[in-house]
Amino acid sequence: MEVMLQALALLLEPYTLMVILLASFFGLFVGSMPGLTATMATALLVPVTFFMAPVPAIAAVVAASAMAIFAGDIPGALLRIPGTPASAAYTDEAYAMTRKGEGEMALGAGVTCSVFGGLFGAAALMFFAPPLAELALKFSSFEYFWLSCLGLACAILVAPGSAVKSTISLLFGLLIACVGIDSMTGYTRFTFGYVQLTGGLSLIPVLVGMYAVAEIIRYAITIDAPITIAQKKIGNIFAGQIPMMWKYKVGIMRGNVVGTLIGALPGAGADIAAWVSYAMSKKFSKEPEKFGTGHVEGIAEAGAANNSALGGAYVPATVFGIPGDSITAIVIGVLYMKGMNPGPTIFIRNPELIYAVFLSFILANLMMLPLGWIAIKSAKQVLSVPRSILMPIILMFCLVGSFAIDNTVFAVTVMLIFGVIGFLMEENGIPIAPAVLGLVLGPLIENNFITSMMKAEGNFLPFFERPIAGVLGVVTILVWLAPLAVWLWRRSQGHRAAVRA
Amino acid sequence: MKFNDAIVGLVVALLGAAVIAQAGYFPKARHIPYGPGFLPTILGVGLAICGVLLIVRGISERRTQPLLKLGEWSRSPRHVFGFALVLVCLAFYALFADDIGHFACSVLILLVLIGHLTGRWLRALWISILASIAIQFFFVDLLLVPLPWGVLEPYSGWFVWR
Repeated sequence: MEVMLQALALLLEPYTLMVILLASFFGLFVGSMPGLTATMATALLVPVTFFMAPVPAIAAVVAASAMAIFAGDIPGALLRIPGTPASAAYTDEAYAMTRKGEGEMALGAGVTCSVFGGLFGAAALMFFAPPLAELALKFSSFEYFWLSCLGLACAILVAPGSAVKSTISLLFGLLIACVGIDSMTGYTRFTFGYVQLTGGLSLIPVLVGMYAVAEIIRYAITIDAPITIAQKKIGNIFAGQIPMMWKYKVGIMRGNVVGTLIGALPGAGADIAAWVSYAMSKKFSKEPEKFGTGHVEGIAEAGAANNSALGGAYVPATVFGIPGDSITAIVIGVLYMKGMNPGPTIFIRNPELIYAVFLSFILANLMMLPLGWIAIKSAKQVLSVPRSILMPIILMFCLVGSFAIDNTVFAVTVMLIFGVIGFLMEENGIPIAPAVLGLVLGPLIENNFITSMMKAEGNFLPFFERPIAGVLGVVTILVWLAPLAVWLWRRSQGHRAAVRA
Repeated sequence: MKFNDAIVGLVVALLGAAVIAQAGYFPKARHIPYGPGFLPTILGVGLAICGVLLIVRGISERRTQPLLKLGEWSRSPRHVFGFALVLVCLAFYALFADDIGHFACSVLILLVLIGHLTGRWLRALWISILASIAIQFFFVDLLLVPLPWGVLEPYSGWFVWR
């Protein structure tokens, strides 16, 4: 309890509160601009957080990402363009509501369910992270090795589209993590004579390239239609929200739980949570025929899910250092920079810092009610900011931000190269999230594998000898083999069908 | 800019092969058979296998998938130029920022990009100057990022308002 009070005191410092407020407005702006994502907001914030104490730095990221995920609903309802990919699942539904004259209900459900989902995610984080950390204290290199492998397996399983392409993305991420000095032997790999690469590729220029620069390139080649806002005047968005939430309470709760779980899975974040929840809402609904015609039920459930996913993603990120989504991949980088190395020991050494981060979730979500109202009221003005001016300025922010990480222009080159790679990957259906996960998990896997091998003197058996390691190992191998088994089963079914025919 | 899967596969397979070849030169660890080349070799093999799988898929779908499918934009010279312009601007910054300085680069890049995208060059000029000053103030004066001064080095005192 004393730790909680200390954490609260850290969070309620005027400087931290001001940072959270500014970051919230930044997140709302980025989220409501189509084409700018919550991950991009986080990546652009990093150079700024570089100069802050740990708590305001992470709280800024928390606030900005939570606001951005909610704000993505605004252009979805008004323009039929999702502000962030996390709102894409129910954009058509929200727009249909606006066309029917129920824009207030669609936007209001976005705010209230986001707040509820975000609070649920935060509560789950505070409830589950400490006991998991307690368990993780017993982990050795064997367990960490298996856990990271499990993370990689999840990244491929949950990625949309072709499994081969997700695997390529993952392997590519692991490969770029190999660049630089191998921490076990001190041998430099894949630096091609560039001294700047000796320390490895910095995470931030790579991420800014893949998420932001790739998006700007995509903007440059987009032939976009002029924007028309479906509803000019927006009335009271909070009217009728409580009866609506009460009516769909089961669905919203299901969205919260599903969102938190999907968020905690490595590689899957708010966007996948929203798609899954929207589909579940339709499946379990009493009136599925209304879906797609402007019905609030799916928006409420998926809107809660994408915000609860944010909190869920911090569970593996803070406890094991394994990112739950692309935002926490960046957060892990920030935690290292701030000397708050993620892992169970953070809960022992700096409990007040980590609890302050958790509390910042609650604060950010409570602030979403008034700030969300402001954002919706000023949507017309925000959405009329010309993107032809905004995009070049964001590019300049990317340049300066990448530069600020290492203070070298070399980082800009890295950002450019990964911007082009990220653009080509997305164009060819290769998802980016597995690569990011590979980049973060690469060193963890390799170091834990070699350390374990040294301990085991080159023997494989000890990888299964400890109880937790054994269970994790078996689960990981099963997860790796699952797609193969499904494929074989489908083949045999198809074969049988063919024989019968 | 969608390539046929066979081409993507070929690039991936070649990358895998190059990684395996390079990893072969890495020294062996002394006591265990897992040295610095161990993980890269596995990754190289994985990339090569995935690459071959994509090549097979691409060849089998060659009737429906052209070798290279460009989007709508490739028929609009303005968009092709815009695409090239973004890359050129970034390369320009990477190559010349140290020599001519961040501020000059920033004004130039913003002017060219905003001018091209909006078509209103005079407005682009003042926006690029104002935005560059704002970025300079925020990052250099407030956040103390040592952005390169370049040719403005002798006059840097005028621009630091701390």
